[in-house]
Amino acid sequence: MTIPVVETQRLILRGHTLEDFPAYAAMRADPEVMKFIGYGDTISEEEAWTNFRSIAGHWEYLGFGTWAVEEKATGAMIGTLGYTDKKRVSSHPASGAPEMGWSLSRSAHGKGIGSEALTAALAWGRNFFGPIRVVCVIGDGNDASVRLAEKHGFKQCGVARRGHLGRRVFERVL
Amino acid sequence: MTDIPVLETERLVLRGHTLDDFPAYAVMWTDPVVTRFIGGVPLTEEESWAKFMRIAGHWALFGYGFWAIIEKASGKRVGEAGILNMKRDMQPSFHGVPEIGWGLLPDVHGNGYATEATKAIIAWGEKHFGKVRMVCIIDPENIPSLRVAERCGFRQVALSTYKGDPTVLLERLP
Repeated sequence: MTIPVVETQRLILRGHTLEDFPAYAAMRADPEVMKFIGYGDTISEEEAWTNFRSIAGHWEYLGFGTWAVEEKATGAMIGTLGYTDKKRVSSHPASGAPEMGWSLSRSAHGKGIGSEALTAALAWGRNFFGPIRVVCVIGDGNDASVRLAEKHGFKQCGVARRGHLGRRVFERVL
Repeated sequence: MTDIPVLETERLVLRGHTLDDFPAYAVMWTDPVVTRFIGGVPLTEEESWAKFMRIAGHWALFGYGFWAIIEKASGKRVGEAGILNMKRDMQPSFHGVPEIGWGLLPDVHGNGYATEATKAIIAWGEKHFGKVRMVCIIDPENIPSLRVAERCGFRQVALSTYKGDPTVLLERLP
C-alpha cells in the first residue's frame, strides 16, 4: 500500500522505511523517550524490530497507521506519530476507537514538533475516518503529552494500568 | 497490499494473509498445543493481533515473510509458514540469514503438511535469495518439528538458548 504523505511547515509525515530503523531503535533505547511508554523502560533492538514490523503491517491491512516524522531541515527521522488499532480488551477505556500515539526523539522535545505533527494527523484522520471518536493513552507523569493532547481537544475519559505504570485515557471526536 | 506470491503444493495452497484470516489466526494462537513450543504461552486476542499486524509488515518491509497455509480439500486455513528476519538476540547470531518457521493447527498434525509447505517455501526462497544458507530454531522437545526440519535438509548446529529457553539452531546449506 502507498502510505500517505502529510506535509507541515517543518515536517514531513511519511511511511517508515528500513533506513529509519536505526533512528527508531535509538529512540526506543533512550530512557528519556521511553520513561512513559510501554512498561516505562527501554526496549532491545529485537523488540524495536518487532514493533517496527507492526507499524508497517497497520498500513497494509487497515489503511491507517503510524508515520515517521521527518524534520525537513535535516531529513532526520525525529519521531513517530499516528493511529493504531490495538484491539484492546473491551473493558479498557480506549477500546473501540482508533488510538493516537506519538513519541519524539529527545532532540525534538520542547520545540512544538509534536503539536505541529498532531495538527496535521488530526486533519488527515478527520478526512479518512470522518467525525468519529479517537483516543490516546498517556502514562502518568507524562505532562508534556497530556498538555499536547489537551491542547488538541482531548479530554480524559478513563484510567488504565500497564505493569506498574498508571495511564490516563483521553478522547475526542475528529 | 504488498503482492504476496501464491505457492501451490499437492495438498496445500500458501497465500498471503488477509484481514478475514484474523479470527482463525487468533484461535490458533490461543491453543496451548500450538504455543507449547512457540513462545510457551497462549496469546490474548490483543497479542495475536499485534503478531498478525507484523506478518503484513514483514512482507511490506522485506518482500518475504509468512504465508497462510490453506488445505485444498477443506479450503480451511490450517497454519502458517514462511521466512523470517527477526534480529533475534541469540548466540550464535544469524542476523540477515533467512529463518524458516512453521506452525500448524493440532487437528492437522501428523499429515506431513509442515514438510510439504516448508519444502515449497525453501524452493521459493532459493529463487528469491539465491542459493544461500537458511536457518531455523526449534525447541529441543519439539520432536515432530525437528523431524520436519531434517526432512527439509536442516542439520543441528548448536544447542543454544532463546529468551531463556533451550533452543536448537539448525541450518540448511545450499
